Amino acid sequence: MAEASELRREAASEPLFGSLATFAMSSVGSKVVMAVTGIGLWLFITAHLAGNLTAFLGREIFNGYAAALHHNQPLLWGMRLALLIGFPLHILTAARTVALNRAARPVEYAWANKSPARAAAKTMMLSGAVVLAFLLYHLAHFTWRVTGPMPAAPLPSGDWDAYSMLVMGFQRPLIAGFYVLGQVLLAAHLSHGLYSMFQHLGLWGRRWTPWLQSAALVVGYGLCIAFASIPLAVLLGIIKP
Amino acid sequence: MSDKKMKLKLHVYRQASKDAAGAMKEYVVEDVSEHMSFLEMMDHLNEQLMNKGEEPIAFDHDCREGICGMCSMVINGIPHGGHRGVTACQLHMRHFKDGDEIFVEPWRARAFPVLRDLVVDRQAFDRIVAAGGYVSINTGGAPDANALPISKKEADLSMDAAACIGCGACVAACKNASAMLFVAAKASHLNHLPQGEPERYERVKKMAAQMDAEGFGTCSNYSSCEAVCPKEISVRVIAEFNRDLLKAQAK
Repeated sequence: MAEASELRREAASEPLFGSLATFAMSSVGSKVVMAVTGIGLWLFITAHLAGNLTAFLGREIFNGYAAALHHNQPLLWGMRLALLIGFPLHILTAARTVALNRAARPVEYAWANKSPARAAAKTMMLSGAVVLAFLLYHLAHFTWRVTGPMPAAPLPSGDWDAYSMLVMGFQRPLIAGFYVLGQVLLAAHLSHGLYSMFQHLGLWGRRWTPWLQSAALVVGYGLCIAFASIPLAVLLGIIKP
Repeated sequence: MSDKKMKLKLHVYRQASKDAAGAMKEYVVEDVSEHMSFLEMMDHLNEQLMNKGEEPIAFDHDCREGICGMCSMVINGIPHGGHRGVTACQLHMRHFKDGDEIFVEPWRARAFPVLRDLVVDRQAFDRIVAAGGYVSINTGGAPDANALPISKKEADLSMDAAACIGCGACVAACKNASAMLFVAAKASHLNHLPQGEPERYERVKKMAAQMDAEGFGTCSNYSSCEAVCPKEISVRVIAEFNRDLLKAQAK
């Protein structure tokens, strides 16, 4: 009888999976939120990179791209709105699951937990936090224009000279270095995240899942190299003032 | 057959009862044969302790042939000791050498409270199975073999998942103390059979809800569970569980 009553210990709240909102708060659902917002943020980053690389094509084209983006208000604000929803959801859900997971093991192993796991996977919170710090600095640098060197005056058209901002900023090794560091950690974050999102959405294949793990590494570090090439090119004088 | 005798230094977690405070304690074990299993070495240590009038170390064990899922020791930081596809009872002392220091700890998770020394309460797993890991039809007598054809592919998927012995090494290894590999294996084993398929979506919902209520962590795809699983169950079952649970939201 004692055993039977033990077995009857029910789930705390009755219809735990009653609606999508409660699903999103559950352990599996919160990871679906991470995966879906992660895909959105990754797509944004990829588009952002394509724009950035126009810096190699010279001042005219880069500033033309920047101005075109700035004058396309529906696109700009559509993108910003998506980011304003996606980023907080990604970050808050991460913070919630980390708290949940810490609570799930109140007493740590006295010696160590040596069970194999990839370093990038184990340090998602750390890499994510550094990327967030980098993002805030990046916004302050280019979007809010409160840090970093700024050209003395806007262009005659009234737009900011984004090309000069980029070159003046990255000519300072400290700023360029922080950008490269941000990208390396973003790459580590993506190398696990890009694989993980498939798993969370239930997409698994005997043949392509191992391939996917390698692809996540290539895409993650590929994005890193492409992004980091810009500050490095400025430092090396390939992108000229 | 040579029989080298080893002298080992063990650090074992001791806790007198569920509510008592515990700590790691040092022991020296002498005359350990390389042919002993890890559990036999623990028996050997316990004999030495009893001869000295000390309380022996409590640990779970039953079949000692790797199929019951009772043994539950984190050995040098890895559940079951880190040799692929073996439980602690199948781990042999020939993998250690004279003078080695070995750390032995219980499974660590909020959902697995320590009862005594290396023994933890794994009834959380029973409650998850009771919540949905069953088939609710009356099967009657055993049907004739092959009366219900099941494709080789489905039978294999089911059998791979059914290999789970419920030892809990997946939870012990996971940085998040997540039970996803166990829960998903139990669901997958029934979901691939015609008897279990009709309740597929109800089952995953109920089991996931109970898993959360028990206080296990979330899955972050470290795959540590797969690496330590004595039955080498693939994280494939976790992806399948996630997919079924997603589909279940629309039903």
